[in-house]
Amino acid sequence: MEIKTIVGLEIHVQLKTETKMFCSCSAKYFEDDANTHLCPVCLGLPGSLPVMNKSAIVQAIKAGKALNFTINLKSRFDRKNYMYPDLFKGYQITQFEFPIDTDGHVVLSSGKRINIYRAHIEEDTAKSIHDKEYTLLDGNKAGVPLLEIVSSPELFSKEEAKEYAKKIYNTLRFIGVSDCDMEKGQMRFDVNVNLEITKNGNLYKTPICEVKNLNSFRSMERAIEYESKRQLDEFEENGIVLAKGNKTTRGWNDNLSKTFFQRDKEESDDYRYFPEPDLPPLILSEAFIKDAISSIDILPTDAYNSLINKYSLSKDIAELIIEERDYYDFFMSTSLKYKNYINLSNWITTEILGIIKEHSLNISDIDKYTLIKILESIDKKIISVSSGKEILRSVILDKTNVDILIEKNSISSDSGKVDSIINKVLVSHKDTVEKYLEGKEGVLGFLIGQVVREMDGRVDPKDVREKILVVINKIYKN
Amino acid sequence: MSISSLVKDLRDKRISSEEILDTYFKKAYIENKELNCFISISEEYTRKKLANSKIESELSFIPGVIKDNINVKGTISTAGSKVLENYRSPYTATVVKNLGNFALIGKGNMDSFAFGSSTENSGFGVTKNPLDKNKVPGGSSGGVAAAVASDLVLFGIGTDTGGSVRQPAAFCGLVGLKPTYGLCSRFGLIAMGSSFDVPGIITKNVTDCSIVLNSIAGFDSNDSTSIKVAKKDYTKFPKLDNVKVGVMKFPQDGVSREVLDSFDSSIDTLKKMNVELIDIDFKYINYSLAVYYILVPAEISSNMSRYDGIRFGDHPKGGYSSISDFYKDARDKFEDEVKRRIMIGTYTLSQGYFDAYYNKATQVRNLIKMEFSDVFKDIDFLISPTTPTLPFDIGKKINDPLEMYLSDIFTVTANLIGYPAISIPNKKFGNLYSGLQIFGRPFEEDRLLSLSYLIESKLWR
Amino acid sequence: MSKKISEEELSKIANLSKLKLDSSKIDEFSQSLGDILSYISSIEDIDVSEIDKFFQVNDSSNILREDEEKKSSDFSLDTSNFIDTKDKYIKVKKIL
Repeated sequence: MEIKTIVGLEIHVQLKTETKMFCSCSAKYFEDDANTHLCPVCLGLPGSLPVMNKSAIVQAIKAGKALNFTINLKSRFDRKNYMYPDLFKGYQITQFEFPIDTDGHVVLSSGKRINIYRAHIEEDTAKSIHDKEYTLLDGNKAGVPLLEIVSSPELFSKEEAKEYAKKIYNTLRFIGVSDCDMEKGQMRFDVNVNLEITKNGNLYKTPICEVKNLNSFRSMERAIEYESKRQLDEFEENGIVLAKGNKTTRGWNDNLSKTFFQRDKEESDDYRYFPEPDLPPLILSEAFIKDAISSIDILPTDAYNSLINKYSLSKDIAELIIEERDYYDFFMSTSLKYKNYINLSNWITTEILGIIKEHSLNISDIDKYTLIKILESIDKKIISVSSGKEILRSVILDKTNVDILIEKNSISSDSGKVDSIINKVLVSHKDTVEKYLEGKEGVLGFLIGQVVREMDGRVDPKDVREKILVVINKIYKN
Repeated sequence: MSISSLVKDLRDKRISSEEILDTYFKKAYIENKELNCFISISEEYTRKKLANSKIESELSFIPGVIKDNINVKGTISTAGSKVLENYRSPYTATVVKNLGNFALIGKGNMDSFAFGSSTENSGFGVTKNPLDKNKVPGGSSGGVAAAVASDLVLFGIGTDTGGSVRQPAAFCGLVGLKPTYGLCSRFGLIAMGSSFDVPGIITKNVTDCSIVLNSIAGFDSNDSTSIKVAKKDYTKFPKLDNVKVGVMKFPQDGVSREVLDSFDSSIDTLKKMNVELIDIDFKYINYSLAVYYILVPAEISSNMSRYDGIRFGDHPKGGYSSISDFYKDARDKFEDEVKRRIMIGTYTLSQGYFDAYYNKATQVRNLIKMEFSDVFKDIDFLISPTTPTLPFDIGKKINDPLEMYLSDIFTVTANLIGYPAISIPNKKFGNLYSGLQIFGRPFEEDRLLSLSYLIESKLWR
Repeated sequence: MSKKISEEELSKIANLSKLKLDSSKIDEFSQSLGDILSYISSIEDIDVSEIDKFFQVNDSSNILREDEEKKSSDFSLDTSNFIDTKDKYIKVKKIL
């Protein structure tokens, strides 16, 4: 028996705009008091009318470009009709028949191309909080612009699904289309999962199940994993295969790591789509699209290629640097002043990212001069690599002055002092020197450490090592 | 009394703004008991609003009525439905703002949510036709027309989705204008059929209509379907030379003797005015009503979904076993005609029917629009009767919805294609009038009003 | 020529429309809906094969709003219109 998991992903991202999709209420509602960002339009009051947000359209065009979509000159908004308390008008304004972006794709690291059917603009619903006795509604989120990106079912494992989703996440963040902050619900996944089972030479497809509203990569992966197992069990138990109308919708319980049945798809899904009469078709000029695209200064793929080709970075390092737009910007601006790009990128990806991740800092808050100054001082042998790392940490975390620290840790130019300290250390640790001479080379580190300590660190351990070896060879090894 | 004469009296200080308010509110309370043309009388609102007002426009202190499906902050806006019985709108429609400091006397009675042609579908009782109290005033803007016809106000703003301004204007012997779709903002009009609805004007004469249009017309950035056009002074009727008027051919069954007779006499009048008349036989216009009754209910069924009992309007109270029961209870106060239209729309939009109804009707709508724009290459205006009959008796058609729908047969086409159309009183039969409907080219209301003015001054009245 | 729609069909539509059907009204609605549906079916015979399904009443083009927060000077939220409130939330008795 051979089992193949088939996954299609619908990703909702909140487009980064100041205001909502169809009204001038602020779209930045996170942690604000409930129902404070409302007007007749987003509250769905009788007589109100929608007006499109230009930035949201621009963002959808940028996403279209970055994800290799055809950006349609003519698209249209439709009404998706269903009544639910979080949907104030009783219909959602979305793009059904003619979405703005069609036929896109991304390429995974394996080289596999994942086709994306479409990306369309729609409005978000209100937030509802369910209690035992009642449901609370907050309209601040109602009408916030979303882009729904619908992949074709070409993802054959949870790993592929995750890589695809991560790719979308990185790309949209990189060009500023969305912050994709999952804790704020700015990126959500609906996964469509089923299995292709080959058994005794026959191919069986299990019924498709849609798991809705997953709000982290982890829960997405786990939901796919759970569904694969559940569907296999179910198939072995009842043998039911995919048929028209037997798609189901399930929810995800994160605490139990389980999906749970919500409803049969056909039960209520008659959305009665029709063109939104309150909005004329969205007709874009070539010039408008060009303008929108030109607001993308660089696409992540171009950035990646230039890091490899122009800056000679390794693929792994380049991958790390384009993971966030801020990292890339940091590299680009420091590289203007510091030309050993490989060294620079290593410091950024190991030291700087290490510190900011450990302490939840933003790379954009880090002073570029600090890093450049430290790297230059190391190159000029003013400080040692290890003091450089410590200085960096201290400047970032304790806000100490980099120039003073470098001065304080600068390698002593008084080589006579180093020589006399080496002699002193070797004499007082005669037994250690003996061990070295017996072949225990590991003890050399201890001796170097003693010297560096006596010198208050103002010495390059590499130099010390060389000098110690010279002395030992000359005096002790006869 | 007309707007221009009251404006003159006011400016010459023969009457004060105080006196206007006193007189008109007093009349309103008395007459409304009999006519039921206002759902609410807006005395408190208006006295407060006009307390420190000065004359700033042609409409300052001029008494007017606003149909109750147009939001006015500080008044109750019921849209003629029990569902919104106590609904205080928290904002004001653009057209009402554009009217400035006029004197709002009351909110006009109407068929619930503007679904109807007689005002009998109101949740607040039928309005009587002031010309004959056994007859309907027409609808859905029946309250507005009745208030204007009985001199309780000098102008009224209604809404026209398929004739709701022109037909009651005709039934009450008044002028009713449906402007081009997009000339006047829909923002704040409680939607019925969004791609059909326009605010409209009901007045005693064409000049008053022009004065009101001057103030409500204009682009509104809150309405994506509104259009930027050069500002015109509609009171300056442009000179019309070599005018060609199309005369619509129509099937005569269902059209009353009086209407046919008066239509003939208006043709005679036009002939005497040296206007070139051209008979027009449309191929698709007979389908207008069917197209209308597919597309409008479709839009209605969606527009009415916001009445869920949660954020405004009537709220259900009991306990519910399901969300569906909650909604059904919340929406149970919808009047029967509202329920009927929602269900028709739900049906035609639902799976399996969408292509046969919605898509097909949209295509026929395109055909009709194409045919009109072809025809209007050769003519400047087009005339037809406004209604197939004179005002009918209260209660006569209320139990036969389809029969009621047929009373819109001449008016719906203008809404299908967005063209402007006006109804002016044509011929008098006892106390009642028939109406003459004139279509103009889109955004040429100035010429349409100009021709209407000419005919008005020539016609027998 | 026109025929009533069936009770079953009527109740399906009412359900989808979230409308309660009073048993005394079923007959009347079946009849009037049947009448209307058969009337509007008259467009069946028209050949529209060459005709666009995109329709616009007028030539309004997309009005794109600048992305700037604006508070309506006219609008003030009237929470007394809400069914019920708790803190600043709209509160609805458990209906799910």
